[in-house]
Amino acid sequence: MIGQQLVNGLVLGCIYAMLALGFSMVFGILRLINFAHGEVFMIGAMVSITVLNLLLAKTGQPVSLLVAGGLLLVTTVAAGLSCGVLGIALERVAYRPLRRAPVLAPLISAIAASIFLQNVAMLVWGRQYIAFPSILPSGGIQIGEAAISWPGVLIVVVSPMLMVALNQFMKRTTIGKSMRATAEDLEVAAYMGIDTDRVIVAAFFVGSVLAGVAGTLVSLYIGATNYFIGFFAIMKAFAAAVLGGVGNLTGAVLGGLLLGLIESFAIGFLPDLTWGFMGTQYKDIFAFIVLVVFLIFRPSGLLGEQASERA
Amino acid sequence: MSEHSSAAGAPFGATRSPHGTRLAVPPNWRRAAATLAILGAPFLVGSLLGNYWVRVMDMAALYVILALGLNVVVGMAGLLDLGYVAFYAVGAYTMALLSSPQLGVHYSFWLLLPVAGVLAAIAGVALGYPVLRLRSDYLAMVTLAFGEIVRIFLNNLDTPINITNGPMGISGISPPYLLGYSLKRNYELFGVELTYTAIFWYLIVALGLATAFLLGRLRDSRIGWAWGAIREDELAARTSGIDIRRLKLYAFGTGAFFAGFAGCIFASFQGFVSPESFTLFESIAVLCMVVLGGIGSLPGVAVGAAVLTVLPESLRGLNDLQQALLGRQYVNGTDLRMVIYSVLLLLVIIFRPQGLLGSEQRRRELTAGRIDSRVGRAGR
Amino acid sequence: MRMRSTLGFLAPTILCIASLVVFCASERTPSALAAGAPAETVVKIGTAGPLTGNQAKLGTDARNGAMFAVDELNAQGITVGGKKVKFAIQGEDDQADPKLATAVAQRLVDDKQVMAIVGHNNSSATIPAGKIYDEAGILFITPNASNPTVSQQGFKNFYRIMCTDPIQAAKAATFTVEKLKAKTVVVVDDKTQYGQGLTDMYSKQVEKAGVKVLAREHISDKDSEFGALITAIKAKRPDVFYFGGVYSQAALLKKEAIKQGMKIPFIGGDSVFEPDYMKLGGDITEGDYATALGMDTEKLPKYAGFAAKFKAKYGEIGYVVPYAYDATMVVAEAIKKANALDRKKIAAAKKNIPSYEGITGKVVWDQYGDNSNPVVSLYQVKNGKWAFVE
Repeated sequence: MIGQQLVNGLVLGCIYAMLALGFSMVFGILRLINFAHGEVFMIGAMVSITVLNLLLAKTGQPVSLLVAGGLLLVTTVAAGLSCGVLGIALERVAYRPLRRAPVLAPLISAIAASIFLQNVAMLVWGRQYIAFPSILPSGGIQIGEAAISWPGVLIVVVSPMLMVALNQFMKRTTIGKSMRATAEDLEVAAYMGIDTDRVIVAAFFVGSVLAGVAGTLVSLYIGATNYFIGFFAIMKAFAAAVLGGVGNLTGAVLGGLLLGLIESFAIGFLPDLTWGFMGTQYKDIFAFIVLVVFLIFRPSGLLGEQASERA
Repeated sequence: MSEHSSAAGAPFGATRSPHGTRLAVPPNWRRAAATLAILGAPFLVGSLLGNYWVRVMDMAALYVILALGLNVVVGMAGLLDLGYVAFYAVGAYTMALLSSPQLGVHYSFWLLLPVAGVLAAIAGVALGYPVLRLRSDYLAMVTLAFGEIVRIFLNNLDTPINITNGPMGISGISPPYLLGYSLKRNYELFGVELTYTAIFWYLIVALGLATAFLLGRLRDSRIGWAWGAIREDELAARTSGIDIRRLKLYAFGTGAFFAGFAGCIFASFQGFVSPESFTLFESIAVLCMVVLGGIGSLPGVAVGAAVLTVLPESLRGLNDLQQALLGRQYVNGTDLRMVIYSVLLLLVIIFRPQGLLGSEQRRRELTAGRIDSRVGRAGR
Repeated sequence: MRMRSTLGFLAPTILCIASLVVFCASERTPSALAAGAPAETVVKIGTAGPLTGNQAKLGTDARNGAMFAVDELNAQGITVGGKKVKFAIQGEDDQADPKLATAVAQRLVDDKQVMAIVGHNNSSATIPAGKIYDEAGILFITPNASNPTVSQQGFKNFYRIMCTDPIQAAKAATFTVEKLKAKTVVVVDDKTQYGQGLTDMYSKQVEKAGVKVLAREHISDKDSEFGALITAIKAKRPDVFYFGGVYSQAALLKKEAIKQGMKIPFIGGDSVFEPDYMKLGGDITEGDYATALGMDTEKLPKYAGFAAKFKAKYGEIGYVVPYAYDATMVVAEAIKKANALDRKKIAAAKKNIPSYEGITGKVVWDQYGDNSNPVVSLYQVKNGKWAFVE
């Protein structure tokens, strides 16, 4: 069982890592908790299903793996891009007017944006679970006692690729370097001639694209999605980011992976550990508990970043 | 430092003060009119529109208490608590556990009112102690997490020993008794029917008045001014010798107290509690009331609570309207409620952060540093 | 000084509340305000159920069933107390939320034209609403609320048409032991009153028959990712998987189980007995079982004709439709028997109707209002459709 839980945790962890990455990108620059990030993820999931259904209506059920892969690629790109655009709109409407306002205001705005997106999604897609069309073959890879389905394989392969790509992007491209500079010190970056507005928009775009891709992959993996997954997504993204070190991109990845593993093992072993007192229904609050514990005792996370104003 | 800068033409002779619009001393006839309004409202509404609307009034008054409590935390001390509903739940479940068949004990409502408040306050201080040194947004997330944790625990504490009866909730909560009479029954007085919804109206309004009175005094006390100082500039406040930690704890505890207070009333009014009533949605709704009505302003917050409790009722009429005009119901009115709340919240926080009745001072506090020329006035 | 300013703020607040109330109420004038005496006496039967939200289909179906009954009654032309009456349905939406249910109940009770209630459709809503109906002395019959605690509340005028959950859990338990010959089971519920009620009963029953319950796991009703949970369950190697919860999560659980190669029989309750279960789950749902309250519709003699007529008017026929129809007919019987438009008389008249033979079969009421002639059916997914087993 341990092997299987390990695999489960890794797949989950990759998703959390992607979420936390997108979240941390914005946080690193603006020091703003983008509450609506979870809802962007949810919309990515929803859009991917809608797009794929549209495509399938034209092409019919795919006959070969190649066609299925192609459809998936198109779907993922479409979902990612839509989320990217959504992220830009979010920045423009809800966050930019409150740039530099005292922290209370943008936070309230973020919450408002999140609620808005969630309820609009509910109105558009309904309250029921929506099925992700199954176009990948069932079955998967067997590693010892652990089985990993094809969607799971996809996640574990694609996420590191994306993260490496992001890393290169941040290191080599001008805008990537500008982002890192702005994250270090926004005002100085502005003095150095960096167009901080553009950088911020770019950060929102990239972060949201990541969320959209994560959303697509998750609904593929689970086979369905629903309009309220956004709330848990943001809590887990934030928990992962805090765990690894807020604002720190490597930390976000580490935090995400760790959180996925912790959750999976908790479900597996918690009832035994607590003599049946705490059962598997406490799974979701694990992220919450990790969050609270870390913020109280080690706000800088595992890899470091100041989280309290003053002790 | 004049406390009352007069604002000519303001309604009811209102004056602006650093804490928000405060209404001036009305002459005696206004007081009499207000008292008459309170006494007569349930009968008027009840006979014209039905008991259902008196119930709506009761809930509105209850939310006023909740909003006043949250105002202490968010408005007076400037801390964003997104898990406020947890304290509401603590109060409600205190009443439910100590006055129902669940544990078999039946304590008096009047005894449990302060007890619920105190227990909630203890929870507030316990939560606040480790987390209040965090930055506002981290604090918001932690309180949010806490709110959810409490709800999940309430839903799951029925195994291995049944404390909260889990998702089924606790029913059969005893009503309040006054001089041997149950307050949750209908009575006949001089030929007029006194419904229990009317009785609860008087009860809740009385308690609400007491709350407002207490909080008004608190606001104008040293503690209140200290909160204002912390809100405006924490470093300067600390330098002046204010114990930030302790004062933030006071705010948290006081806010939690009133939430527990309201929760206790809610439990005995509804006679039934379940974890479903204490979701994040409630916390957000109360926050909306505070922000919309006017952060920091007591009358503002009360108005916000009243408006946001009663107005959604008209959303249901939206369905009938669609049916009549368009022949079909395209969108359910009540589903729009949160969409409208969120849009209102967004608009208010961007364009009028001090809400309906907040003060100019508040607006300045909430926009300090903003460099958006579209809004018109730059920060300080 | 402070006192006056506190009262001073109260005045505008009260005025606000009052004016808002008037404003909002004016958009929803209760029928009690309708001016002038109507030509025919309108007798309203209130229905309450989720018309919106994720159980909207349930509430809408129930209301349609009641409306269909009322259409038939009106076609017959009933007289009460010598006057011709016209029946109408006052449909209210409680979104399966106990808080809204109490509000809805209050509204219905306030409306003096409402003589009886057919509702609610969820046990968690029926209980708090029931308290209000009980206080008002009004007759209320639920077509399908199935949690046993509802009839244990001591309501004086409460009746059910469908039987209660423990009976379907017991059937599943018997099937597990006798037909599936299982030695071990794993039980999962969604921590709702309904789901947990089912699994509590099921666990008790199978244990009595000597089957070992290896684990009782819970999920939250908002969960969608079950990888780790299934892994933990699979490691225990159960023979049968019993789930108390809604079809959507059942489908996701089954998907995950198949993904991890756990191919054991899967049994759910009546919330899983939905065509959407196969739609969401796909082919992997083939062979799964679910229990449903009530007799299989193929075996009910009057059902086919009823269904045809209903479908002609309202389209698809949902599971709860005939039950709501029967409930409404029972109410009509009580009204006819009382021969007066008086709530208390109607409720009293119902007590003199000990049984009823309706579209859904025969209902015999015991002193708690429960059906002492309960029938439960078990179905299996065959070729993408639910097929009757026993």
